[in-house]
Amino acid sequence: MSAADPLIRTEAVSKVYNPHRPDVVRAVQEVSLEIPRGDVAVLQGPSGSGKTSLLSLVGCMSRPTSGRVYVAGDDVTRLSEQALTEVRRRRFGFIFQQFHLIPDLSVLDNVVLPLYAVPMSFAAMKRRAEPILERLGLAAAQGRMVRQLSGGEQQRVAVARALINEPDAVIADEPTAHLDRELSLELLTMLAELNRAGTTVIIATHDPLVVEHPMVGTTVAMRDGRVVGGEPA
Amino acid sequence: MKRLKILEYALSALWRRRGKTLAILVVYTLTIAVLASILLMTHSLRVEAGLLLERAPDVVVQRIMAGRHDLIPTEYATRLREIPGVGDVHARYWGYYYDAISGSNFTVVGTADPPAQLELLDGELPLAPGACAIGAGVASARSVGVGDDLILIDSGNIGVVFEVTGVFRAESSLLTNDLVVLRDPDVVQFFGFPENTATDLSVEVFNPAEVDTVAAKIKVLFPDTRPITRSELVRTYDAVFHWRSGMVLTLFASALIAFCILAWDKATGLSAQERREIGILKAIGWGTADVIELKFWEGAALSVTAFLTGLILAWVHVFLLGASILAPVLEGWSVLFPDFRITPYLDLYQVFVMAFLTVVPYIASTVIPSWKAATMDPEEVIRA
Amino acid sequence: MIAGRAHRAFLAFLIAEVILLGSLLVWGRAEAARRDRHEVPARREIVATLELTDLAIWTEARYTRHPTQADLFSAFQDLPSSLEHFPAGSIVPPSGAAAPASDDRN
Repeated sequence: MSAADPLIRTEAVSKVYNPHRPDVVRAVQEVSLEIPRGDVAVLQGPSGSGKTSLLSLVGCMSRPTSGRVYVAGDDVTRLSEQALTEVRRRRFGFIFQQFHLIPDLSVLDNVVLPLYAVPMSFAAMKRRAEPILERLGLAAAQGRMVRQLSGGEQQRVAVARALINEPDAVIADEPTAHLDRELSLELLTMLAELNRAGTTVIIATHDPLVVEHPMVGTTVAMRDGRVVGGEPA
Repeated sequence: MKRLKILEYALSALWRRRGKTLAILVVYTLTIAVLASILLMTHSLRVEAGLLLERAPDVVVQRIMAGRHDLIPTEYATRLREIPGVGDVHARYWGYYYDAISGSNFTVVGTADPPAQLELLDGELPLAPGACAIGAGVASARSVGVGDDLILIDSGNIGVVFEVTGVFRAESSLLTNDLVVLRDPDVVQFFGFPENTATDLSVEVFNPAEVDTVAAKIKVLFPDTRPITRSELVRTYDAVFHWRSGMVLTLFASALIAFCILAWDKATGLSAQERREIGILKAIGWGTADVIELKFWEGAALSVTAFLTGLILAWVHVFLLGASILAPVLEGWSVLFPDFRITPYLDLYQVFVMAFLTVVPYIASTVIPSWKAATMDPEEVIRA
Repeated sequence: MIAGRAHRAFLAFLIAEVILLGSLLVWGRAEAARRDRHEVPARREIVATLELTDLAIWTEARYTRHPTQADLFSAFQDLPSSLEHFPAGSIVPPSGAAAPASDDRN
């Protein structure tokens, strides 16, 4: 593995759901792509194009039915569940479309949640969270229940949580789907800042606001599980 | 450190679902309290019965007529004394008296030549004709004390006056609660025993190892008798108070059913909220083992708390409060029922078995339904 | 949650319960020993003096008051088909069934 290796590389990767049943779904079909380090990559396409499924494969959230996935030069396709979790935790931070925060926990508790699975004291977890909360303007609100926050604030909590493990890449699935234009731009600005600081950003979306944002480097256009076009960085 | 952190999260998760958690905790604790109460009480009574009945007669010989208990001719005693190994053989006179005034049954027991005083007797045993010593239950049912008169109706429907010379103390209620102790001739006259008959015979055997042999010989000598050895007495109470017996099983069953319903409710699947939470944890970096451990702590925290609390409640209930809640269930139709002063004899083995049988299945019923969600790819759990 | 209070409070509570239970057990052992020394001999004295064979618990029927003395017939006292009608009768097993070893003797 060298610094020149792309962060993500896939080789003819496919994902098939319900393989032997009448309701079989070929979500991803023979996709090969590369995402360089420090890039902002957008997987673009309409609903059902397979971009979310491809995002999951790339982010080690699911395993391919066939083909290979390389993260930082390492083949992760056949790793054990424990090892894959390790890769996922070290390399990636996720921002979900619906945020998936725990509503009855505080901002701080939500942000440090990924660190519970790591041997680290409560105090160390807090220390790790503080600069991130500061950067995202959440320091004052850290004790409040997520349930009580506005949509914009919850979005920032989701971003903060994605950053707590100091990942190589932040992965976002349709991040602007439930946001108005103003909040969408705010989010994109945050992601651009992260990218400037060195974090790779990978987004699945069909929102033109995202696709046409100046920070975007690689674009991968998808339809029916296949890559149909796009621009490399 | 990670262990404690996951425990912290488990407790937080239980607290966030606190309505359900508290409901389960209360039911679980009460169930264990009932089960433990039963086990503690019956074990104690069993040990107590064994200890006390060690001084019961070696062999009691009853006469059986047409399959029923009948009075025994006192001349049988002569032949019995000739059996090798047999010491004293004497007649016992005792029976039951239904007291219409209080609606209760008394046990009337005759005595031949007793010592005047007993440690647990206030006053004296009957030393002269017309005297009686009574149990605390009788004293309270008929509102009499030492020096008062107790009037009983004999077999000829005549009221007979007995002077109460002694009342047994409450500490002996388990043995004496319903007793009316008279002198033997008074018992014979009161019940109208035919001449030369008695209720049964008490046989002394010198060598404890020979009791069964002697009993066998008695049966051969008098085929119309039923010898009852002391070990059979103890064994009867062993069976009465054994957890497999009717009393225990009845109470046990209802508590057990409550518990099974609880476990079944848990085992039939996660709520949508719990599934979603597992999916989120896995997506943000928790491994399968971490999620399973989380569920383990959730189950363990609840079940260990319920077990300890239930056991403490049971202990206090049985040994400090005299099983006052359970006792009415056991009373049946007994009008005179002793106040239990149960001695804290404990069988640690029973406690450990109980701990195992309540904690482990509950943890299993928490971990197992989560297994599938915990092992799924995070993407699937979130999508579902 | 990050203050780490819940698990400390919980563990403290558990320890408190274990200590309480331990104390109860220790007290129980001492109390049992005390009664063995003082009360049990006095009660055994009553058993020996009055030649008692049963505990005075269920006074509703003969065979519940003296289960050790009851014959197999008592439960059917009124009629051969007579069903059990004393609540305590469901608790107390018949003496014959309780002591199967007596059959070995015959």
